[in-house]
Amino acid sequence: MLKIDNLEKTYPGNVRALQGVSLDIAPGLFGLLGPNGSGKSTLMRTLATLQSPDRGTVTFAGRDIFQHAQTHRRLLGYLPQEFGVYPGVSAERLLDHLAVLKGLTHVRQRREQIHALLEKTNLYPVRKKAVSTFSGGMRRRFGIAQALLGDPRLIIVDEPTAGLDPEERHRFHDLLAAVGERVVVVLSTHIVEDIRRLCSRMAVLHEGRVQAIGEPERLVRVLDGKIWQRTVPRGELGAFRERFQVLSTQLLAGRTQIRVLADDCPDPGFAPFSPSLEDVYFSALGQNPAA
Amino acid sequence: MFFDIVRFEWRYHTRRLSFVAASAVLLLAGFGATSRIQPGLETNLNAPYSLSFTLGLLSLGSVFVLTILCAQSILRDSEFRMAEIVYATAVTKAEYLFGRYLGVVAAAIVTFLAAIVGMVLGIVLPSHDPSHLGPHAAIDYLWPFAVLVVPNLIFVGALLFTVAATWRNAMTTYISGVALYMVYILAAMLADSPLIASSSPPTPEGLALAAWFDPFGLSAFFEQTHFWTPAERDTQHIQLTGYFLANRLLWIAAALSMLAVLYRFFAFRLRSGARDPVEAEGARSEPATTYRGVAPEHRRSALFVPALWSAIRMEAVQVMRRWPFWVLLMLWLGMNAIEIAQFIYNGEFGTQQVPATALVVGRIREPLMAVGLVILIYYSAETVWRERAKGIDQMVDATQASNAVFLLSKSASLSLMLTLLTAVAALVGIVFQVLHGQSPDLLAYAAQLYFIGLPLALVAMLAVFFQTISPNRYVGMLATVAGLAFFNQGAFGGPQHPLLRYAAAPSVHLSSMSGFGPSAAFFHPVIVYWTAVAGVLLLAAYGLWQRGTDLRLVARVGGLRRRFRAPARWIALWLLLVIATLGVSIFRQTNVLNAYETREQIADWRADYERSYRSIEDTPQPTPVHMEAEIDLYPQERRYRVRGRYTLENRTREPIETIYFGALTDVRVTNLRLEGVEPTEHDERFALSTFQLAEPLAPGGTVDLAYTVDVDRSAMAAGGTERDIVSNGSFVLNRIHMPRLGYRAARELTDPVARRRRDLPPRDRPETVELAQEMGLMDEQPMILTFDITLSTDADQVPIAPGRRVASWVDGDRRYASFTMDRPVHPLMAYVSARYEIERVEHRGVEVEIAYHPEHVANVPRFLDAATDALDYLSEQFGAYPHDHLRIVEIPGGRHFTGMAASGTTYFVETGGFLTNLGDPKRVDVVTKRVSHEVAHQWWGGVVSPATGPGSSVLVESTARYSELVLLEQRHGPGAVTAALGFERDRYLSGRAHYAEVPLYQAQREPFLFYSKGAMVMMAVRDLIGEEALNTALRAVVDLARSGQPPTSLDLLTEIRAVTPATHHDLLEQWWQRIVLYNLRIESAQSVALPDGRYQLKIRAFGGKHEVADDHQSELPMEEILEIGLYSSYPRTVDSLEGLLHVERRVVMGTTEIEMVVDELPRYVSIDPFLRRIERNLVDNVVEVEAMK
Repeated sequence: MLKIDNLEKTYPGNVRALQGVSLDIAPGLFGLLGPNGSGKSTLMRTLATLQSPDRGTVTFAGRDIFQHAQTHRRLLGYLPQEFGVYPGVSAERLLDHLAVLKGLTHVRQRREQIHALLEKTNLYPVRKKAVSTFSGGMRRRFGIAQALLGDPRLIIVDEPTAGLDPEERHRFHDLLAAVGERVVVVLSTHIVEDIRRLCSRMAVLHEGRVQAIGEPERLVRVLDGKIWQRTVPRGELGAFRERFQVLSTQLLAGRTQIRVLADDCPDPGFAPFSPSLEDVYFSALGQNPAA
Repeated sequence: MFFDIVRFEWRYHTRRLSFVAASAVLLLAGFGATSRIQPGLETNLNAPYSLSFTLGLLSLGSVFVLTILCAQSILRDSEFRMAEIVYATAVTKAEYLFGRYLGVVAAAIVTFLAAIVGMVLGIVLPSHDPSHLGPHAAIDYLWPFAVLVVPNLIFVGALLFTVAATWRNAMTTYISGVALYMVYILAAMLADSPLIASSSPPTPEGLALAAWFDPFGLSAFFEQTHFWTPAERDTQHIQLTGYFLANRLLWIAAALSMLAVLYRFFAFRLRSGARDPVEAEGARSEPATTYRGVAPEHRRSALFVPALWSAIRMEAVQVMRRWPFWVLLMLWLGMNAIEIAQFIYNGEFGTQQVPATALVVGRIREPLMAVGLVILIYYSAETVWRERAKGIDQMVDATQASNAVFLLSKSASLSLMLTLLTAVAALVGIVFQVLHGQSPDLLAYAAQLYFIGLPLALVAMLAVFFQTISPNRYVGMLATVAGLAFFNQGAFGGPQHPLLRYAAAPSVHLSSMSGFGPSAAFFHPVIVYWTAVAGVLLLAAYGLWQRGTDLRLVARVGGLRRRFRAPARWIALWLLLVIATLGVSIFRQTNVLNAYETREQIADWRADYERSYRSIEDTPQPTPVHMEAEIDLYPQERRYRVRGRYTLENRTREPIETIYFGALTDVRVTNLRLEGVEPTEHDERFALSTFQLAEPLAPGGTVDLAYTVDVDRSAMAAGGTERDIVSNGSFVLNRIHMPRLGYRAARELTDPVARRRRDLPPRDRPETVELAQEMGLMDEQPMILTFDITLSTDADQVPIAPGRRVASWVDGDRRYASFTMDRPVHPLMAYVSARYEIERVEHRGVEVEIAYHPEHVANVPRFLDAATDALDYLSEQFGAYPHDHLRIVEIPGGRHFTGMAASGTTYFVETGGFLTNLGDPKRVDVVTKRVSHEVAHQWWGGVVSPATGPGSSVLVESTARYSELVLLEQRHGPGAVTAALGFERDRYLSGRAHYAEVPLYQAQREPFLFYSKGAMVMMAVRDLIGEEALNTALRAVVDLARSGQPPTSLDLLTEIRAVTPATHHDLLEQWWQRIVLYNLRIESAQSVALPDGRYQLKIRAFGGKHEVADDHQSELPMEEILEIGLYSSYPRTVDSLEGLLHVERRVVMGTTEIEMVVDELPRYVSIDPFLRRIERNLVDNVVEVEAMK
């Protein structure tokens, strides 16, 4: 459905945000994992036609999205990473406005969909209240509601769960999972948990390059038997880092626990550990571009 | 820490692009203000006054600069979501607030230093003539900078900073800026600032009020300086005294108090934290509807209108939901109410006007233009950047709505704003009219939306364009300010031609008689042309619209081609077609059918004329002595034709061989024949034809000259259309067709610098009456002639020309009237045609006739009354009235005069008396005043027709003014004269402040002398020698003229001297032949109660006078009889008799003790209460009486 081919983008000051990103994304939830500054948001904005790449193409359902920006936007639902609203405008009115801009010209259909969305995002009781007075979680839900206006075939949600409390995040996941059945949903996040719970496929983006791509299960399975863990005394962490490919360190009851990627047991102090998605993420960050 | 913050703020601001842009704009503004010479003014380019004026004016711009700085200083925390971090640091509230405030003010001061740099650059330009420059001194810049600019920055900064910090909202900050500006305009209106056109001079009360409450101190500045003479302007600085000092202190104190209040109440924490966000947990309602996708509309045309409508509604709500907008609207309402009230209740000479639609509608333009532009600058910034400022840009940009939706909704919201402002102004006017029992013409109000609103809306499009291409709204604001000043206002050498000056459609004024007049017809093509240009700008803005997150303009320019698809291209094509078609048509009208010449080209033309034809100046030429003219007016087609035959007589003592015939250059002359023979030569450029006579014309011989003049005003002229021929109320001066024989000295360039630049010698026309007399110029008989006129016009209009009406008839759709004048008269006349109502009375053998617009009937009886009274008095005093008729003709407004007299016929502008409310006896009766004046011209200017030269205007105008005042006094008593003289005094003192002054008896081109000083001196002379003696002298001048000798101002002086006791001859000389100003005051007044119930007064008066010569003042000895007035209430100049208990004439010499015993205890003592002496300061003429034991 969504084909991204060799995208490149360099910002003024020679910041290379995307360096030849290629992805082929089928319907379903697709997770884009990467640390801050990895180029996720640039990629998301590009997919939303908010900025154009220096090189490369993006096609959706066979159509170049920049050649046919307007058509593409008709099929698009976009939730930016950060957004504000017109002050003093109620959730219902703002949804109505955005719906009209999206092309929902039929008044009754529009009203029905907005009601449905308000209910779905549990904003119906506050639909007359100004969005500018909403809490962070409500604002996010409003964001997803507006992204679902119309009949989007491609939904792009950029860091949707940042700043949400666990309960809100949970509810948000339900919402996304429900809509992600029929259409392409691209979700960017730096939270591994989001991906694990939602996405059937994922990619890891780092320094503008795709470092890993695949189904989360399979990516995890690749690491089977290659993850080793041990606790290390304080002060020796540096030495371990030099000797092994340390994926992650974690403080546990005051002691440092490290995980290492290795084909065989690297050292007698290590114990085998069953890999998690987090290990996939960290191993991807440490690697050169994956094939 | 504190200074770290100031330093940080300083660095923050000075590294912004908007700071650089603001400095650049101010530098350009300073340069533009000083680099150009205002023609006619006597002041040096770098006179301290001019520099202070410029700096004060530029400091109005501080509102913009400081709005931007304050918004960036305070609002950046919330807009960039930094507030939490900043508030959580160790910075104290005082450090935070005052540090930032000082940073803002420091940055503002630096931007204004750029203005000084610009001014210096403008002054040191090598192209300036050294005679326009005084000595250079840094203090001339720094002093006004210190006392005008810096306090303004402190105050404006404090206000905007306080507002920004209190409400943390850009719009509120902007609106307080607009409100401040409105307060200034109000003050300027009260103070009659030179920047605001006003109908009447300021009252001292108005000046005082304005001097206090104008926060920019400009009104106080004018209050202190408005009578300064050119010499004083060149040398003096504004003094920190009086109102100016009080004003500066008041507003600095206001600034400090605001900051104190801000410090006290400023909540040093997050604003939204004050209220918990809404939570919607619990109460989870069961989904009644299920979410289903709804396919969006994919036809662009079908989704465009609903999207646009929704966006417009959203924009409108965003503007109107905040209270500052309503405050703004209230202020606007108040401003309009004051503007109209000022005009209606305090019109010319303080009269009350009848609020006819034409008058009230005329008051809408100026405030709307002034405030509308400022509002546009702010609101365009706000609206174009709204999505980005609020952070909703990515959401709306990702929708399929076209850029056109955003662009048009924003333009529409600005236009709505203008519509609202116009509607409020109109509403105020309508309410005023209804309250005064008038029936408002609603269509005329609605038309203002088109005539004023549309040009402003086009300006809004320009502002939207500038904002679209700017990297942020602050730079956009400054770009808009500079762009509007240059392209729309034509400042800094901006374009002037209507095809180049943005949205510069001709301004359309409403007249009761001629409706919107001819400029309305020219308004249409120009406004359509500019609407198309605005359309192109909008298309460009559409192409360059910021969509998405890539802000760089370069990137957007690159994407232009992709965005310009079929519809945009078609629209562009059509717009260009409209621009081209109308552009060509307008160009043809302004530059082909009319001559378009720049000021420089006209000066060149004058210089070349002088060079080419100065040599023929002394060639004797004949004089027209009789004219027969058939004049056909076609008011609806806006053209007329004059077929004339002129009998020319050789009145010289030499035979005439060559006759040089000149015409105006903007008329078409055909069939030019002298005795049936065509001219031998013709010079097209100067419209000069030469006839070589076959045999010379002997002295006393006559020849016949005949030609036809065609004038067509149906094409638009770039500089505005002539209003001589209009649909109703045509007023055609005969100068348009009269033969101009020989050399025309009036065409010579007079500006010495312009002459020098064109290598012309200094002009050698005599500047004094003595010199002119010596050269024999004052003995020349002025041209006088007899005439027979047949005037025709549309059948439904009445044609009126001077002369006895011989016959009138209708032939088809034309009405004719013929007039004859069988005694030679001064050939100034006008042909008039309108749908008149006529009223006639027979008065002692004279038929007095008034032709008036049917709606303007109210004051007709007073016109007739005043006319017959004037006829009686003047013929008794100065000899018989020379005609058997006296006509009073109303003509449309919008002229540079209010009344004009031809022989036997006088013309009055509709707004100069017909619409005055004469009900209040305490106000100046302008009808009696004007009618008396124009009737007096039948003697002064009619019977007495002096040769043109120095002093000639005194014989015509000062004498008519005197006659007018005497007649005014007959009807309304001496108080009316004082009221009128109050205005003359002001006009004289303001006039001499701007232009070089000569002694009164030399006056020729200076209205402030021959009208105003003339009026005061004539009334002083009358008081000195009595009315009878003065009239005897004037009668002698009339007799001299009747004997065939054209009198001069010297003759007038001789006759006055002859009836004046020798002891007063010095005084006459001082008043007429020198420039003498008085300084009178009452120093103290004490009263002692006498045992017999009466009171003894001890008054200490002071009288001094000084002569001004060659810019120097010298004291003169003073010993004059002056009036001392005792009042029960504070004496006013407008009604000097109110509360008057007693007047005594006493000798005053220097400090003089005066004692008198009176029956009734006065509260105030005043010296010269009736304004017979000219002095600058009237305030110290009155003192409250102190009671002594």
